[in-house]
Amino acid sequence: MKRYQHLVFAILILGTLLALGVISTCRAGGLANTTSLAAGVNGVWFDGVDAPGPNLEASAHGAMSLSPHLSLVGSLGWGLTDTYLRSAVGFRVTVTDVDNQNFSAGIGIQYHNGSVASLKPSEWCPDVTVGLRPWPEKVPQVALVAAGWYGLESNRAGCSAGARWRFDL
Amino acid sequence: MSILDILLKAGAAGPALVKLLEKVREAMPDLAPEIDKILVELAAAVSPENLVALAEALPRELANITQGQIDPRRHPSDVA
Repeated sequence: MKRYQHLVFAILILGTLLALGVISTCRAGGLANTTSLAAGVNGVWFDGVDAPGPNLEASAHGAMSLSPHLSLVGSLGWGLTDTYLRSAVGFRVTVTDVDNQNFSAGIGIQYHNGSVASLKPSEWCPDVTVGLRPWPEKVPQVALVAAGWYGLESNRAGCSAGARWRFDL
Repeated sequence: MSILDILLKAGAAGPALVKLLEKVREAMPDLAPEIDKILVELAAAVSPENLVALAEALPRELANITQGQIDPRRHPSDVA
């Protein structure tokens, strides 16, 4: 039963995001204006003695921009080296030029949840992220990203770096 | 807790990201100039001065959102 709790949690998060997406989309005049969906791969490093080692992870991401600086963000990650599922949902504030679509940095906070004991506790994690579109003309869908975070409860840090393919809506 | 407090707390996650970018720079020296540029921009972006200015702008944006005025942008860091 407990193993399904994480799945239910993830579905609830995605459902909430979806609902917010529908509302914002109606206000902004189209899904493509507010919402970004992306898939990617990451190298992930977790702090802590019993945490999973360096991992390769496949991930799916959703983001909804509500104002020039504020976005709702969420993701699901599937560990490929060690098998796990983790999710995160929260908000992010862009701290660089909001009109630059090729480079941005953001700070925010997300609630992290993991399917294995070594990724516990589920907790709020402030984070800092950077994203770069290296070839905006040739391959505008591709972004290189990196993120660092630390858990407010566990005081453990983590970081990831990877590539994203953004889907056009 | 004020918006500025939240921003400063979140900005404290920066060292983990900086450490990662420095490791990438060591592992891939060809990328060093790009990563140095990113580190400089990141340091400026999470500087207290920038965060204070941002904290002043955010309540206005939040008010606009609650009034249904959505003004979206595209940020590559949103899918990090």
